[in-house]
Amino acid sequence: MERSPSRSRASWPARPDYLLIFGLVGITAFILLSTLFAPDPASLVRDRYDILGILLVGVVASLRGTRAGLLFALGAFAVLAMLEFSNGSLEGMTADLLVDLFVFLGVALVQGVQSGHLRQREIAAEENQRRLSLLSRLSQRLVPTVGSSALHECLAELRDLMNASQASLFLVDDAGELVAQARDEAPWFAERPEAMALVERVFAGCVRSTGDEPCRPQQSDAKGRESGKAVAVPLSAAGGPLGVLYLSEPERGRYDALELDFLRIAAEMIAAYLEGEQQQTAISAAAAEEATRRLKSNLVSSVSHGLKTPLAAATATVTGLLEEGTVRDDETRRELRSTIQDLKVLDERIGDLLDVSRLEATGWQPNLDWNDLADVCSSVLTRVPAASRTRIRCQFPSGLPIARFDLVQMTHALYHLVENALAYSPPDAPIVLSASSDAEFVRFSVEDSGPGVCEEERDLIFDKFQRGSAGSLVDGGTGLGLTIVSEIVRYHSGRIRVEDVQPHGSRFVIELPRES
Amino acid sequence: MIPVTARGAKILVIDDEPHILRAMRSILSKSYEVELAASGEEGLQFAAECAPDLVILDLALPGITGMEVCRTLREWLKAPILILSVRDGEGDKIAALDLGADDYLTKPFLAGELLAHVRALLRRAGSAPNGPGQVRSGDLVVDLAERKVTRRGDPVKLTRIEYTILARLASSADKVVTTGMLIRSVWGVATTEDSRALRVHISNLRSKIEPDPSVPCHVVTEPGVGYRFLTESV
Repeated sequence: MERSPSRSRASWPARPDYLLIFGLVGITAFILLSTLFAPDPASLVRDRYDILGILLVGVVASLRGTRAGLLFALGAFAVLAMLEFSNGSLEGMTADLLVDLFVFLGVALVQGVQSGHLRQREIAAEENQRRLSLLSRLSQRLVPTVGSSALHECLAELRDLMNASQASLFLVDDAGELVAQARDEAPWFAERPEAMALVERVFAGCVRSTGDEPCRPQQSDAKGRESGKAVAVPLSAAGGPLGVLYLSEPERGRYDALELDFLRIAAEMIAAYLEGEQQQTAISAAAAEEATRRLKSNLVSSVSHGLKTPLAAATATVTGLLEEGTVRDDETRRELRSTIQDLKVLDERIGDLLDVSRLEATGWQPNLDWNDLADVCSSVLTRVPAASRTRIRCQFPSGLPIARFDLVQMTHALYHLVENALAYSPPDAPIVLSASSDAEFVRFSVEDSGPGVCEEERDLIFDKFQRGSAGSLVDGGTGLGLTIVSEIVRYHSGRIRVEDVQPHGSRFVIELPRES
Repeated sequence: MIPVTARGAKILVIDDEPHILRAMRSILSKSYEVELAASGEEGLQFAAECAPDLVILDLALPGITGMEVCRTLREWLKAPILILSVRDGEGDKIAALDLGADDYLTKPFLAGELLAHVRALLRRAGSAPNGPGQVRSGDLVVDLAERKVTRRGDPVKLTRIEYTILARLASSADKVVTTGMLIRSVWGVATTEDSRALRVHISNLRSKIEPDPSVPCHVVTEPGVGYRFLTESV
């Protein structure tokens, strides 16, 4: 792990050079003791230069690592050799002396390697400690902070920790564009197109590969590096890239691998925070939508109650006037029956409006249960006015399976289709209500002998307030019936279509999946 | 059980809507003694004071809900309870029937429908406490004492479950029996799969007792709520 010594001391607390002090004290003590107690101190000191050299190699390697220790060992070997040469000529070099020199070299190299390894391990431990300390500080800053100020505070903290002159966050907006979080940073980036280019390149790379490695300007960006060295780290989350973290490196040096690693982890923490915030926003939006839905539902219920209650009272009162024991002349009874019919129509039209409102407001969820298909037929017949009931031909073959659907809603849907068929068919023409099934679907169909639905109108007739161009033979209808039918079918995950019947007429077919 | 003759029976109507109360008085007062209560609290008080023979109860009450009133009344009152509900209120109807209500009527209703329900409920309330030995629906006779079913005098062969279902419905003739009640009477505990099995058994039962199973006239479906064994047109 390579790092800049000058930056190291500048960025991090200086390490006390205890080994240097101990080494110097030891060497001084050795020289003093040798001088004081040896019979020929000068000779002894000269003979023991090798010990002194090995001690110095150990000190240097302990302070500056293996490479410095080995270089120093070679240097000491060279100095010792020169000292020996200065004492005599090459001819004076004995084999013992050469052995001594090379033994010194070997011991010095071993000492350098050992001490250097110890130092490297110490450096690694220090780096780990620094990393943990930084992450701890960052997490303490990020985790308890919520709200929009959290990111700004986090960025300021990161900028201070990394000795960066600029720390910015670019996030993807709704349009998919990268936007700086702090608006006042826009001019800063406008003046530095190379910084913006770096951010965009990193984001593009992140989108392509979902990689999360920090990125520096490439060699081609050499000019940009002169004006400001920088690092950009993508912010990636499970749902995709969220943005880019940009830091300009300090003037005194570039970030080392450890710091880049730290930046990557910091970016992951920021991405996790952003993702959490996005989820929180989504939850809040869902809660707001649910509240709106509930409000609409309550509104529909309230309007329903407000409209239906007086209608129910009027219906009960007017029908009460026709009950036994109440003497009325024929004309009055006819008028009362007509009023009752009007009230019934009014009730059905209000019902249609409320059904559409309910479907749009609350998502009229079907109450799915296992049902006999034949029950739909009898339930529809119960709702059809007695005068028209004889026109309905039910074709429900025996052996139809039990299917899962909402009986009330499906009755409602088929009632609308039957009502529609009655309205568009000639008087007394039969309406066929039938059911069938195969391995995938159960089918209900309502067949009339009316004018049919032309090809162009087949998709439109299910829209609100749409009527077939052929026109109904009876007055009335809100134009909502088929909309209600198609919505009910949709909520059952089914489908509806209209077909031609020869020689004339139409057939509405509802298909429901067997396991809806 | 309080023996009651239909004419002169005392009916308590609990509804918060003055229009409905007025209409109820207009329809019912010709044949019955009518008490009107405009809230659940008032309804409970009147019920305690006047001991009605029938209670007509709206489920959508302010304050104490109709459901609460139904539960409280059922703790001590044996008179039948007819609930008034809106369309699409199947869940409320089932809950009220499970709480002990006897029948329901969906708003808006015709005066004739209301009177028919009232008559049927008062008639059942006045019948023998142990219930009839035989229940007749057109040409179909269910003999609950002998555990026999005949159609036009010919015995109908039913499986044990089919008979249990038919007997449960016939013993509450003309009353709605919810799907949950039927399942519990057959299997004990209600589950979705039991619902499927129940539909199959009822389909088979109808194929044995109904002239046209697709348009049943003995065991009719109350959509979203349950079934009713008809002894006459309600």
